Amino acid sequence: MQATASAPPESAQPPRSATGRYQSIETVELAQKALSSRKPFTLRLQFLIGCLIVLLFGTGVTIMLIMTTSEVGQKVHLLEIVNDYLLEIQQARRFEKNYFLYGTNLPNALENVLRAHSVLEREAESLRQTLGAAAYERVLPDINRYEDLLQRLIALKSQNLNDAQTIAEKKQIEQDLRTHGQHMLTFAETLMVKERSLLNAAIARSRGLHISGLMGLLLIIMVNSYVLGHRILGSIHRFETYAARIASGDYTPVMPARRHRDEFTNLAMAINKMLLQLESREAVLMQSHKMRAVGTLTAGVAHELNNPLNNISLTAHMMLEDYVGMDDVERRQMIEDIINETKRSKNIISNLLDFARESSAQLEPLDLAALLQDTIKLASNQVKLSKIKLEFQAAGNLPRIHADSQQLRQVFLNLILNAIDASPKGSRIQVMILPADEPNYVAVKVIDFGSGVPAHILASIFDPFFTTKGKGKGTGLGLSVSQGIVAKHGGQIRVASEEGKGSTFTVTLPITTIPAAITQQPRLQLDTRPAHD
Amino acid sequence: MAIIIIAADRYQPAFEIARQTAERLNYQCFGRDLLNAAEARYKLKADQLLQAFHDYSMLGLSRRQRTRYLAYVQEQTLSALPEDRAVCCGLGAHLYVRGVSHVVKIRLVSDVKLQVEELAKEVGATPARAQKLLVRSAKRRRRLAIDQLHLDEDDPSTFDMVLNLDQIEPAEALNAICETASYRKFQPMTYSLQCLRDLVLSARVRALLIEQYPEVRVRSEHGTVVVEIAALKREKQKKAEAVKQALAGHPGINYVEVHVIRDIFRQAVESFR
Amino acid sequence: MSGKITVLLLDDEAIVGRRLKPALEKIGCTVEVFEDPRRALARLAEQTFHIVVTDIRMDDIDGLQVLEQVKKTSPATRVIMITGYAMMALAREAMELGAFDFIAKPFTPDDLRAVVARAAESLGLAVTSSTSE
Repeated sequence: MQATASAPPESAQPPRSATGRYQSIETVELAQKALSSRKPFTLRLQFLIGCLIVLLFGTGVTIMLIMTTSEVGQKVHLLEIVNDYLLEIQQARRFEKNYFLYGTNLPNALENVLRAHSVLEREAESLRQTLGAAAYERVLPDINRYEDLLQRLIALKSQNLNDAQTIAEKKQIEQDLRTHGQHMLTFAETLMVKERSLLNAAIARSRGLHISGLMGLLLIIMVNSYVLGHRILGSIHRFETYAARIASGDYTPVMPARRHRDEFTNLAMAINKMLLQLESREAVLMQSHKMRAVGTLTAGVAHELNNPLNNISLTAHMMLEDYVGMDDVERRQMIEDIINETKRSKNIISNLLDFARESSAQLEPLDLAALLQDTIKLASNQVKLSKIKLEFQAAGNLPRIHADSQQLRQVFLNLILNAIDASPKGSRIQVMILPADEPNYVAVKVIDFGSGVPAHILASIFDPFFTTKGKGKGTGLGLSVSQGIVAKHGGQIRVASEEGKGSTFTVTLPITTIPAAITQQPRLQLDTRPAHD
Repeated sequence: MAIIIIAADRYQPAFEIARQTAERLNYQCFGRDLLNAAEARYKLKADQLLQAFHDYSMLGLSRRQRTRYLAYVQEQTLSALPEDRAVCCGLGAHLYVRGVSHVVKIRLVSDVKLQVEELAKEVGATPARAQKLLVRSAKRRRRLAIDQLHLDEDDPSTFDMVLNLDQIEPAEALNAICETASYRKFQPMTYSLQCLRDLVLSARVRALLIEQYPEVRVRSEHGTVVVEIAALKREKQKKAEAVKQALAGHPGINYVEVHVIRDIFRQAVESFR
Repeated sequence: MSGKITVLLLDDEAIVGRRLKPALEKIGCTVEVFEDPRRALARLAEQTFHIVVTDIRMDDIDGLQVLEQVKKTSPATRVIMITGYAMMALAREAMELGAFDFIAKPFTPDDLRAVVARAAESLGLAVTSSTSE
């Protein structure tokens, strides 16, 4: 069975392009178009056609069965007639024999012959049909003659003449009688044998038709069910893989995988619509989660900002106080201090503002180490507040990755903030970039030595709305959103944790710089040719 | 010296402890009666204002009323309190003084049965009915505290100390409170006094604005006041000016900043007209 | 010079020292400024000061450690904490460790002068009025 035979031929690349999910609206539209351009051949239609074939076949078989049955009936009827006739003839001949032996029973023989004759006449129509008119005509003279002879013999006997002429005549008649009787009997017996074999043949035919008709019907139903079932199960299986793919965060639209359009095509189109919705929801979710992270960071930034503000305030106040007694050099110095501290304030917030800004996301080649350094800077106030040492190590010569810097920053920031939350005062957090165990992947590890995640909840930490933080402290969306982002980049987040010893979150990302290979999901083929016409 | 704030399930015994604490430490003592001074200003009786916390009526106050009464009680309480050396009982005072290091927040827990009995006598209802009223009132109050002040009163970590009066005698509670209040960590300092002053100013400004802007939020620091109000885009300028006008000339205010938050709900409502 | 109030000022922000030194000198203090907490601690080991003004959040050694050290060697010394990271828990901790006062940044020179004056007063010393000039 060649499953691939039903798939459409290799064709155009799927429309996923360098910008990945951000062109998804066009991608989905393209997919929808491709899906709807298929020639319709619905499951319902296939089912109806199947039923129709079964019905037609069944009707044919039934008609044939009725015909053979009536044929058998006819044959049986004829056989009965022939049997009656044979019996009468046999009886007549038995009486004839008695007459020869004892000279009795002649009228009885006549009676039987007359009865046989009447059978022949009564059933003339059907006999003519089955035996053919010629055979029928041949048997009639025999029986007429026999009758005639019998009557003459009876007449002679009643005259009771014993002259030679009479005796000679009697002898002659008796001779003829025997010959014709023999003819009649032979004919009847032949007829009987012939009819019986014909009946047997008809019965055999009828039986064969029964069996083969039933078998044929079964075969048709089986073939139809198999084809239909294969189609349905195959599609269900396909959709199962789509569901798993979507669950893992890959929102590539569903492409047509069949030549025809059916109920599953409608389902695929509905799924594509859903994907668009999901994607826009996810974008909102991502932004709102980002703003939460920004909220967390503002506390640290506000504190950090107090230092330059204090410097400015002190400088300004002292300048106001001593303005008169100061020389120009001093004044200059103070004004420069104020300017520098203002710049410093701006720098403190600009990082955060950059991050908070709702940016049109873009995939670009990125230096992961630089991105991580940026992220660490962003979290630095938080790190300071918690009195934690953050160590950063990057393996040299790592190739660039192709990713959305804003989104990845969000992922790493989230991991670092989580690590800070989990870490006790004075402990440390390690952030490392190194080649991953799989080839062509790079791994970022965020390691903390904090409370760790208990084994029984380890499996659910990536679930949306799962949180170990207190009410109102965590949304439970951080890791879920992060996982979504990383999956979109074709990577993975994994966690290893030991309660009381700490946790390691590992983000693996593909290092390939070929934009088309950003997701590692198997490509679905898209047939962009117009429908078969 | 510290400010001691006592929140209690039953007001009378708690106030007695507060009074004795004040006497022993030579502090001033404040209780519900400080609301009497508010009557002239807000045209609301003390009982009415307290309804923000203890609301046994069928439907209860409207959300807007409750918020407003709370703002008034908050303003009245914070304004009346001196910067230190004070004991304050009731009035939801523990809700208003977050982040002030020289405020010792104490909660006195007592048996629910006694509360129910007291309430049954007060409103003339069966104990079962009184219990229901009590639960409903507590629910309303908790929601108000979480909504308006982002504080969960049922969370013991809101307090510095929780004492169970069923287990600890009032005299022992008195000792414990006096001892705790004498810890050095509860001494006032420039920073905590400033925090308290900021809170007082914020409460004053909010009480001034709450009738007109029920959703108003106020923060202040060193006399700089940041007011957040909700308004439509086109009203932004006008409303901001109105707020500045309303606050002009009030003591303690150096500078007013008005942040107008987009009033999404009103916008939605108006767009359907 | 026994009447002079000795002040050690420690803040890793250079500008703080630069501005506060003249501000405090105006009210009759002798001020030594440090940016490095290690060197400040070394100096504190050599000499007792009437008043120590220290930032809390610094690299290596934080202000609370300085406070503990000072309180150990000379309990009478008044330690004034100044920090941009003011929070209730930190304030209470500092007070419990024996800080004289705790000021949140940003503050004005007058704020600090008022606190220093109170600290001096508590030691039986008096500052000269800065406005008298």
